[in-house]
Amino acid sequence: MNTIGYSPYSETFSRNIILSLILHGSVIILLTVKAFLAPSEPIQIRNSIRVDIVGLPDKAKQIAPPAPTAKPEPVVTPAPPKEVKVAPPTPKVEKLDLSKAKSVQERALERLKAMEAVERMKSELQAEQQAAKKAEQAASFKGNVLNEGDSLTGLEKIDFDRYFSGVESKIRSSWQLPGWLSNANLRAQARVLIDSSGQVIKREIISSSGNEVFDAEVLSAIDRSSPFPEPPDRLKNVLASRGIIFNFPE
Amino acid sequence: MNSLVNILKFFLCAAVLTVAVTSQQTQAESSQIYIDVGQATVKKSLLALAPLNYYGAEPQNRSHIDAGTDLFKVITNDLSVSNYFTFIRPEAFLEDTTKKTLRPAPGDPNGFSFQTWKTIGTEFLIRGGYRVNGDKLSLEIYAYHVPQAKLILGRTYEGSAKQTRKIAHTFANDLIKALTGKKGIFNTRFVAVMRQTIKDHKEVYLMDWDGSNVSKISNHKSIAISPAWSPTGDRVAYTAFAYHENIKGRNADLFIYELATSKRWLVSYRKGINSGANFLKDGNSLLMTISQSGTPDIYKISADGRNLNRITNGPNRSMNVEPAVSPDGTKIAFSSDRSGQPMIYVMNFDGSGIKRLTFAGRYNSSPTWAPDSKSLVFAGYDKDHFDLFSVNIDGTGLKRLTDATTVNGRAADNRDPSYSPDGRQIVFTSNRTGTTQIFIIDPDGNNERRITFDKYSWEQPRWSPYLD
Repeated sequence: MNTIGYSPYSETFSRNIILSLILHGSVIILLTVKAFLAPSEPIQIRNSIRVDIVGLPDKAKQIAPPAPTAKPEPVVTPAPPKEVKVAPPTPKVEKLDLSKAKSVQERALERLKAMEAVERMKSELQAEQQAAKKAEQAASFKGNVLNEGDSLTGLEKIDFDRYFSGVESKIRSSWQLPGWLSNANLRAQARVLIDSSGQVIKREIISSSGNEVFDAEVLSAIDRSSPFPEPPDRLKNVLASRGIIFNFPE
Repeated sequence: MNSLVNILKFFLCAAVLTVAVTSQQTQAESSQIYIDVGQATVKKSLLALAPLNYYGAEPQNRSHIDAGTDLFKVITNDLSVSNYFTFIRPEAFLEDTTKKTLRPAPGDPNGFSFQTWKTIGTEFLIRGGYRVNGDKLSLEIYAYHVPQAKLILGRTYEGSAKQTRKIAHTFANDLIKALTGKKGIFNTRFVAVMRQTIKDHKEVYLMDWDGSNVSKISNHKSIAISPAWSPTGDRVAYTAFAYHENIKGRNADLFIYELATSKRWLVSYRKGINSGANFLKDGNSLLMTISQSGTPDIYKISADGRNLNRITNGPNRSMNVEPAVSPDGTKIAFSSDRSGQPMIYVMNFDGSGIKRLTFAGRYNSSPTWAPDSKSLVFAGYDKDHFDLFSVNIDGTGLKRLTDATTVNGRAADNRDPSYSPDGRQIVFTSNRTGTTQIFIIDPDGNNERRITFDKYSWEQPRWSPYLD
């Protein structure tokens, strides 16, 4: 039986291959189209919650009692990107040396522009990093970290909040009392004037606790906190004139 | 038309938003800024306790030196237990305190110099001298606040040589009072049970809070347990298995012992248990556990044993024991197995409003109140040993205070807590050293200290009220 040129096997085989290819192709197309038309719900990755069902708690290992210092690392404000003013390298030179001046001046200007551009890029990058950091903080939302909330989105508002929580954590971490005075229920108020770089210009007790040691501890807490974070521009005046009134303890 | 409305809406929103933002900013810029600093971190003050100078007329002999050493040691230990101070090591002193008087320099030509002490950061300086004259001992002692160059306390204490420790404790108390305005605990005592070496008998003992001056106050040659202080510290109630001729056997009876007169009388000898005494504030009545009705329940009884009022009853024949009245007199904490396992409960003074306080662990017992009546400490057993725990009166804030291990690494039993009258310490027993010894600890679980150093086993230490 001559069966040259005809193989029922090969024909079925190639038909099946083609069919398979078509089917695969259509599945791929279908999935692609679906991905565009009806994107699936994003998978939410959440922290799992571990629940321990145990008897009595273990002894807490901390040695110091949970004190205000246990606050999460101060949200110290990386100072808002400063507009770095590169002092124009006195282009007055041209008056002294007119002949060569032009090309020199042009080159200097070129360099200046380049530097400015770099500075701008740097500050943009910094701003971006800060924003990312903020977002991260907002996401982790630990303990006393202030939540900006969503009613106001002004950049200055964020700046103010960040500044004040920076000030707060700084003063809290320096605020100490001797044990024998810590349960005496004393209170004092102190006014602190802060200059534009965050240094304390002046501090005074405006309402004394009546106890010299307590008042002295208040002042030394302020001294240990100086310098405070650099204030935002719009607060500089008020901080230098009216300052902040700290209530010890509240 | 619609689009016009939308545009208007948009402008309105924008305007409102702008006003809100600017008003916030101007508020921050124009009004006074206040910041609440919150509670301070607690720190210790640097204290220089100079060796006591000897000012006696006679040349100093052995017993004089011993008296001085005792005074110095007791003061050092008291102030160190107060947890208010860090002691400056004598090597760091820049002045030879034996060559300077007890008074500061400008007034006293040969006095010490505040400046010198300030140089090494001293906050408090204690300068003292003592005299021994026959059996008489006097301590002249001054405490100064160095930064203010101010005398806080200056006093001369006199007494017999036997009162050496008391003189030192009294000075420590006075210093604490001068600094905090509150009484010191250094003249308080413990009443505790010691296991006897013969026949496993137990007897009741007194000792100073620092473990010295141990004396036996019961001698039943049987088992005496559950001691309790009267509110003024003049009497101790305890339970002893006393022999009764009529039943030819022993019964757990309640006795009261008066310290000043060494008198002892029987208060309650009802059939069964008469135990777990807890004096009420007036000192004329106490709470206790009596089992005459079949199951142990809590009763109020007058100190003469006559008037009996039942406070708890069951339920389901469960036991209600270890009553502890809150310092404000409004509540009673007790332990009960009504839930199947012994747990801590709190009820109103009249027995109403019973509330279960602990749900964790397998066996919780011995509740003792913090002086502010807001929290309790108890002994809890969970896996294989007892530890001390504190819990708020509303059941929150359960916290383990102890976690010591024995020498072979096994968890030690820490139990029988009792609060100091100032609420800054808790006395308890622990078998971490092999025998059950008395320890103290802060209510937050820090600064554990061993108080007794002997070969005996101690149980149920109870901290006295202020005795001075």
